Order: sequence, then C-alpha cells, then structure tokens
Amino acid sequence: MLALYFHRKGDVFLEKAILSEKTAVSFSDKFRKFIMNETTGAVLFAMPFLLGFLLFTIVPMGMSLYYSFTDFNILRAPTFVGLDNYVRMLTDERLFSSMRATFYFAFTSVPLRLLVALLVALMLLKSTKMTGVYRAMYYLPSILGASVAVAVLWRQMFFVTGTVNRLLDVIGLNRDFAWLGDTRTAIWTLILLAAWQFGSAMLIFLSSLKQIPETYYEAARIDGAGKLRIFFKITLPLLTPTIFFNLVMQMINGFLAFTQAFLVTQGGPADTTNFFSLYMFNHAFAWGNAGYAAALAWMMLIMLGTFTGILFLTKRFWVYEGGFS
Amino acid sequence: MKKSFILATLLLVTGLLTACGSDETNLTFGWWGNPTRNEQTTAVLNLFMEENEGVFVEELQAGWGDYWPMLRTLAPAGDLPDVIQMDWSTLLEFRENDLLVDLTPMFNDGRIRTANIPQTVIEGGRVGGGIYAISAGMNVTAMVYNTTLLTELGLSAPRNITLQQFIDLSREIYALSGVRTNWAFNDPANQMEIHLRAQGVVMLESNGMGGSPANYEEFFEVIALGIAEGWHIRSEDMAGRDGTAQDPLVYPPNMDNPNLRTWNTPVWSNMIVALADNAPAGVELAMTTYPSTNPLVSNFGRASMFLSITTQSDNVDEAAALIDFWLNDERPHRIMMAERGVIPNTQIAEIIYPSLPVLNQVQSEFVSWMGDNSTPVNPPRPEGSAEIIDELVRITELVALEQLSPQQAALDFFNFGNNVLN
Repeated sequence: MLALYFHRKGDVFLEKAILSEKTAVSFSDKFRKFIMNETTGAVLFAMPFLLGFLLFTIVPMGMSLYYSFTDFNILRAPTFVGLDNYVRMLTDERLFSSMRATFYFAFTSVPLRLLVALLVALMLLKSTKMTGVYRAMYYLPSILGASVAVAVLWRQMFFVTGTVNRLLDVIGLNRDFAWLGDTRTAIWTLILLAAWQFGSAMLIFLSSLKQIPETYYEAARIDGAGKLRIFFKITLPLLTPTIFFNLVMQMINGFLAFTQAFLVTQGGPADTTNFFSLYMFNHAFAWGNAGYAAALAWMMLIMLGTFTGILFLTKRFWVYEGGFS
Repeated sequence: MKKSFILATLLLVTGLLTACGSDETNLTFGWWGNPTRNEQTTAVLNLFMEENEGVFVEELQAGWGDYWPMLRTLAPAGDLPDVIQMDWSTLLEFRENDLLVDLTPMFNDGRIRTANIPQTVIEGGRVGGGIYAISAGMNVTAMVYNTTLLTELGLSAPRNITLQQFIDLSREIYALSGVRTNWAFNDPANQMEIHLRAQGVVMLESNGMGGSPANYEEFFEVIALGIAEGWHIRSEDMAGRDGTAQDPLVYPPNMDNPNLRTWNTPVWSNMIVALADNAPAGVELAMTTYPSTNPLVSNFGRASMFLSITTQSDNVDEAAALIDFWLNDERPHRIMMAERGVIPNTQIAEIIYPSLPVLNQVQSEFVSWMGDNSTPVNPPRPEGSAEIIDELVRITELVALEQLSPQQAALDFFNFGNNVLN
C-alpha cells in the first residue's frame, strides 16, 4: 500500500517536472534576479555581522534585562523579584564609592590621555627617517595595554619595594612609599597606566592632522602668525571633530575600565579603585548576585547613554563641522 | 577531480576525529594552586594516564581567587570539570546547587577504597545525608613564624599562645628589631572565626550572624591597637604583594626596612612548605596556633583540599578511578610530598613521611598535636559567605587605615552579614 503510494507520488512528481520545464527556467531567472538585487546583496553581505550582533549582543542584552528583575546566582534558575535589584542600588553605599572612583578615573585619565596623544602626534607630524619607528614605538603600549602582563608589571613597578621606589632611592628620595596601598595615590598609578596607552588616539590625531591643508598654514605664516597662534587658530579648531570622536570613544572605555583595577589593585585600598565594572564582576561571579549585577549593567548603560548624549549636545558649541558662519 | 579530493580529505579528517573520540575517555581535573602544586599535579595526572590507557586528563588550573568565579561560570554552561578540588567554605554552595555527586555508593562498592582513611576524615566531606567530597590533605590553621629572628632576640612563641601573650610578644619584637606583626591580613575570616570560637560563637550560621556585635569588637580592637602602637604591619605595605612569594614573613628578603617585614603570618599548616621555599637564606620557620583568648576551645582541625566529582561528569567511573588512585596509590604522594597537607591515608603516610623533608614532618606532627588540642570544626559556611568574607577583608582594611573605629567596624560587619544571610 505504502509502496504504491510512493510510486504514485513519484509519478506525479515526474509528470510535474516535465510539464513545468518552462516555468523552471523562469524560476531560475527569478532567483538570479533576486540574488543580484542590490538589497539582497546588501543583506547577504551584512549577514555575518547581523547574525553576530543579534546572537551575541541583542539576545544577551535581552537576557540580562530579564535577569536584572530576578534573584539569580548563575547556578540556580532565576526567580522573579520585580524591581528589588533597582531599589537595592539606592541604598548601596559601596556602589556610590565605586561610581565616585569610576568618574574620577574617567574624568582624569581621558583628558590626560588625549593631551599626551595630541602632543605626541604633533611631535611625530614632521617626516624624518625615524618617524615610522617612533610611531610604532609610541603605539606599542596600546597594543600591550589591555594585557595582563602589563598590569602585573605595573604592580611590581609601584609595589613598595618595586622599581619606582628603587629609582627614587637612587636620587635620594623616600624609597618606601606604598603607591598601591595609599588611598591618595593608588588610583593615580592606574590613571598613569591609562595615559601611557595613548597610541590609538594618537594615530587618529595624526591622520587628521595630516588632512589639514598646508595652504591654511602658508596663508597664516604670510600674514605673520606665530607658531602658537597658528596652533590655536588653525590646528586646534580644525581638529575639534577628531577630539570629539576621541573623547566619546575614550570616555566610554574609561567608564568600562576593569583589567587595570582587577589586576593591579583589586579595587583597594578602601575601595578607591573599586571601578564599576569590577564591582559588577564581583557581584556576578564572586558573590552569587548575578541578578543585581545585571541591574548594575543596565544602570551603567543608561548612564553611559545619557553622558554620551550630553557630549553630543555640547557639540555645536565647540566642534567645527565644516563651512564658515 | 578537485571536488573528489576535497571530499576524500573531509572524510579522512572526520574519520580521524571520530576515531579519537571513540577510543579515548576525556576527563577534566580542576584545581587551585601555586606553581609548585601545579607542576606536581601535572606529574600525577600524567602518571594516572600512563596507568590507564585510553584515558586523557585535561587540566584546568587557576589561583585561589580566580578558581571559584571560573567554576561558577563553567557550571551553568554544563562545562564543569569531572573532578574538582573543593574547599570546605564552598562545599555547601556547590552541594545545594546540585553540582556534586554523592560518593557514598563508590565507597561502598570499592570504586574508591577508604579502608586506610580515618572515619573522621571521611566525615569531613559530609553534607546532610551524603558525602560529597573526600580530603586529599589535612590542614589546620597555623601561625607560621620566623624562629631564627625570635631566637636572635631571645624570645619564643609558645603553642596555644594567648591573645595577651601574642600582643606582648609583638610589642617586644617591634621594639627590639622594628619587625612588625601580621594579624589582620591574609584571610581575616580565619582569625575572626578563631576569635569568635573562643567565645563559643559561630560566625556564619545558616540564618544569620552568630552572637552579637560586641563579640566581634575585640578582633578589630587588636588591629587598631597594633596600628596605633606601630607593631602591626600597615595595610598600605600589604598592597600589591603577590601571594606566598611576597608574604611579609619572607619578603623583601633584606632587612633594609624591617617595618616591611613581619615575624609571623597567619595561614594554613600546609603553607609552611611554600613559605619556606621563598624564605631568605638562613631564615628558619616554625608554627604555632593562632592567638586566642581560649586556645583549647578555638583551635580546630579539619579535612581540606577536598576532591569532588561533579554532576556534569559523563565519566563518573573514570573520575572515581582518579580519586582512588590519588588516595590509595603511594606514587602520587612521592611526587606531591604532602604539599596539599597531611596525607589522609594512614598506611601511605607511614611509608612516605620518613623520607619527606623535615618541614613536612613538623607539619604532620603539628596537625596530629592539634587533634588533641582542639574542638570540632564549625558547620560548612552557608551560601552568601563569599560576599560577607570579602566585606570583612574590606572592613579590616578600613580599621587598619584608621578610617573606621573598632566598634563601628563590628557593628557594620555584623549588620552586613545579617543582611546577606537573611
């Protein structure tokens, strides 16, 4: 019975195929048209990114939003607790001290890093035989920057019997100062580490410095403008879009700083380097409060969004965007 | 031609892969450790693989601080190692989340032989009706100290040292040499626990903190006193130290600034070996009990360095075989030389100890002496303990930085603990 059925089915199929030879051609035409269409092409080529973005960003974000309304220790299934985690933030003193540390770090390390990046970029602007070598050398710390090795090196440098104190000893200064243990200096060792990693900002500055037309400088020099005046009246205004871009990107990075604090100071002394990401990490993976950590992450997202929004609002007051007014 | 070549290659590779998969059993063994332990463990696992053809043991290793977050992230993915090194402080958490296998059936059918392991050691891994871990080394809290320095100064640290004797001794050492004392740091939870046990209080009960804030005060007062009088090492000078290798007992190796060194360090008894490895030439170490107002009550010994099989293991039999090999074969212990603590298998201990370095024998003698000078260990720590203990570390630091008074510290810590546990 079954065999008969399949036999019949096969026959029908064959018949259909013979009958629709014509339509088949037109189908492949259609397919070709569809595949050659610009929109399809665009979607196809964007697919690897889109899939990645959906699977590894949007889906986890949705899950973390859900977790932020639950009591969740990663080991057990989450239980819904409504707004409890968000209410808890209001009375979490360590959260406030962690925010203070994070803001302090971002607002000092980012301007410092940009300043160093700009100065070095200006120095490397002149082409000499060694320019390439210098550029590579100054970029090196940024490649190494996020690595564990550098953080460990930093700890050994600023440790109470570390390199820095030995060097101070040579020039006869106090050699037993605890840079990492003193509440006033611990965060500055991390700021210094961040400022030292100016490479990527420097490269961006360098490329946009090169795009400023030489004619502007020539005209200014003919009009008798000095070097400083040229810098403040031509270079800096034309560089403002790049400064803005660097500022936004580096600020976001600054707010998310983790590795340095995790490896160099473990958040201490007395929470002065307990950055937001580190505090969140501890809640999620060390203390079994992944639900609360998810809520913290969402607060961070809102904060970063607001802050970046404010930066964009200030844009029209100081960023040059072409044309003259 | 090209197509068939690609196809052939693909078939070959798949064939090879499946061949590997079908013949070999893969086990993963996870542990926390130090460079010495890691090297020894690798050697033991290699020996096990030689003995058991077709079993491949993968290693997963991290330092103590990273080990637990690592396991907690592997667990929800179902990727926990088959066998893990387990600690008394996390045993309850892992058991309550159904991550550990009850070993009792394996003890009963002889997959893990326990004939030469004392019943008290086996009971150390009990949670409720089952035994979820078996000790691979016995440890007790021990205060390791620089006996060379004390002899030079004409001083000594007795066993069952009282808190007052300890404070007097610390003062004297500081006055004579400038060398300081470490009482607050390393793992203040141990010091606090000892301090509370002397008062008959258990720190972390399942429904809240034991005792009242007043019970917790004296611990912080000792730190504040030591900092004010100068004999306690400053919190600032502890920052950035890299574990045992840079413990102030042994580091910096010179005495250029004796204020950076301590005469003692509160640790576990097995750590005397690693500390001695890092000690400057000519410095000999010894150990005594943690100072306490009532040492005989506060002292405790316990099974530790547990081995557990996880519920995520697909090869429970091989995992059991690994544990059995570890516990009952003499050769792993010849490699490990009691680095994880006193060997629990009495028969093997008898064979091995005479050939071990003198410090291992000191350790073994101390642990067995402690057996007669202690009371039973507290029940396993409840879930949430990790957060409370981290808070204790932070509050201790604040007291040492003179930013928090001992009374306020006791009150803050007590309330914090209660908040988490309820």
